[in-house]
Amino acid sequence: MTRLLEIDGLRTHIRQRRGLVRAVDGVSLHVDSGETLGLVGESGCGKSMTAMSILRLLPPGGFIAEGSVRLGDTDLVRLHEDDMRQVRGNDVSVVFQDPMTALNPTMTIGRQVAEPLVLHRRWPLARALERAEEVLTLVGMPRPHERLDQYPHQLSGGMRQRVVIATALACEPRLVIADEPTTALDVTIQAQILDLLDDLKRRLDLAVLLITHDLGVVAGRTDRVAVMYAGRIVEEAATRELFEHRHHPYTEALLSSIPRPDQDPDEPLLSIPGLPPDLAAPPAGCRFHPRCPNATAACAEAEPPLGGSVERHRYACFHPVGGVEPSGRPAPAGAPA
Amino acid sequence: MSALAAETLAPDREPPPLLELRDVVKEFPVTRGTIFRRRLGAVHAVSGVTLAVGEGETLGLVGESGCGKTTLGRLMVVLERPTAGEVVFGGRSLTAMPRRALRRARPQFQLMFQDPYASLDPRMQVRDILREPLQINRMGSRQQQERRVRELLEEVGLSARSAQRYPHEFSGGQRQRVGLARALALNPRLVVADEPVSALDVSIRSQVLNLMNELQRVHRLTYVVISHDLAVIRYVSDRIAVMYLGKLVEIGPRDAVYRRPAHPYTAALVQAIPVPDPEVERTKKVVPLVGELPSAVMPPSGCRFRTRCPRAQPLCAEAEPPLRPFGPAHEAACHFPLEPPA
Repeated sequence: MTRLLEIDGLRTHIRQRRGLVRAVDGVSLHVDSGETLGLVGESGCGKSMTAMSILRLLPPGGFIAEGSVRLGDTDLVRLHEDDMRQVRGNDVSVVFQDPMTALNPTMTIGRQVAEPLVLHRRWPLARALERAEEVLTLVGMPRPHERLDQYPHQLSGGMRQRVVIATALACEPRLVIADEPTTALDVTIQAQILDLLDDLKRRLDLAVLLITHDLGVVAGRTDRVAVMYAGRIVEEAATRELFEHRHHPYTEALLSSIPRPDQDPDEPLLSIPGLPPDLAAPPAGCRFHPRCPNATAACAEAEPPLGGSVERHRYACFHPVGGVEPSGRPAPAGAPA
Repeated sequence: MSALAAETLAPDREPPPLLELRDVVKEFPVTRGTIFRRRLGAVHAVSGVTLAVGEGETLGLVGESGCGKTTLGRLMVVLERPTAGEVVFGGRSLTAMPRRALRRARPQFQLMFQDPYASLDPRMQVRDILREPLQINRMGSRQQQERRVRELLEEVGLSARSAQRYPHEFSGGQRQRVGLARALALNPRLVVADEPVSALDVSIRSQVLNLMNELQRVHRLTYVVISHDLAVIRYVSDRIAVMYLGKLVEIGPRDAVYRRPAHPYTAALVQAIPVPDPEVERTKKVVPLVGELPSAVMPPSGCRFRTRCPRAQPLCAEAEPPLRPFGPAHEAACHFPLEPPA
């Protein structure tokens, strides 16, 4: 496995009327070729913003303030916009959440899947359409030849998502960013689409960055997991390791607050008190401390570093769960920073 | 809540159910043209559903989008009139009732809407949102209404200051609390909650579910909870009803339906839920359902699930399977069930 993507110290901020929103605030992570990294967290934690920073597709007012995003030898943050356009949909492509808004309603399925080939590879349309039919077959679209001339509204949600995936794969990218790819779909269709992504990853040796809020999806479909909270990664480990030995209280709380199949339905669910913080004015110290059952005065003063005593398992906490050492020592009170 | 249900549903002298649906059908016409309107067909949203909800229990209604679960929920509180069949509440037929009597009965059954962002008027303060149902039903003086608003806010865990705020000042979870407070304003006996937590984040979801449980206990409420999420349904329900393309395919006690499903569709739904445990996820052998929900305009003949069913036989296309018993209060509609019928 080779290192494909390396994000280092990324800070993505958004200028808004109410102030500067630090949506991504010092995120470092990597994805190797052929692996799936799950990026989990709740809405507004910065997971999608991290992914969109890779492609520099940021909302108005958004900018990368610091850090680097290396794809192979290239730092995408410093790339000229013209060159960046060659990366999008070619080396790195995205599968968005809602297939209805990700597809152009006035364009035939064939043209949409063929478009990246015409744009990036300057293929003639006829040849690109032939390839489009191949890719539609690859993603398990029934009667792919007929579909070329159809429009998105003629397809069901699951079939539309297959078209979005086909478009993402047309140019054989190295990295696919799947941003909540099944959230808009029904459970039985969700299983079909996730199976498809798994199968394609194996056959095409893709690296996948899977962004989701669903820990169930993460458990079955990823090799490694990074948990985000309020713009930062709070825990990161191999999937099995993370589910068996979680060390950050947020990860622990997140896992205990979902009803599990073996859960006693008469026991109240654990709930995390309070709300995630406002990223224009995040709390000092550890950002989870106002909602954390383990928090002490030290947590409000200093921010715990992402590290820890366990190999290949990073966590950012002064009072971790599961009997491990803190990831760092808070500075003694009153000491100069 | 199960203790309460068991207490009120004593086996020797069963009280009449609070809510009954008798062979309820809802069809929406599909038309073409505006002046010379022609009827081309109908969407068969709900096709003959019969079920009963006992006082104090929670019935979970689960199914995928387009199965008719939301329409069924709206029929339960008579926000839709059924094309055929009867809705009976507390022994009285709501569908046969004159308009004015129905209006007087309405406070007893309330709907809690799915999307807390769309169901609260953005130009109204929370105080007015909660007072509106009281005003419409001419309940109490202004002072009494104000007191009731404060009481409601406290019950759903919102501060008294929230009364002066507008919906946009709240987070999703808080908005859903406002929605719950509004549903409870008139002291209903039945609350139909349509996807009460699906718009919320996981950490907030359990807060709202626990609050709903607590309020049920305090007020002896009866709930019908509608959701596509079987894990949520199992957590809140005493009994589970599974719908597919306008039909009830299985209904029964929570654990029976979840652990020993008789209908292949229920089994597929249970299997499709991703479990937050890598060990389970990697070892589970799932036969994913092929294909997608057929059109509700032209539903398949016989059993409506047969086009996606791994166990389908020629018989399934010819005859529609009736609901058959599979255990105490457990019924399913399948010719080739996964469990032997009782």
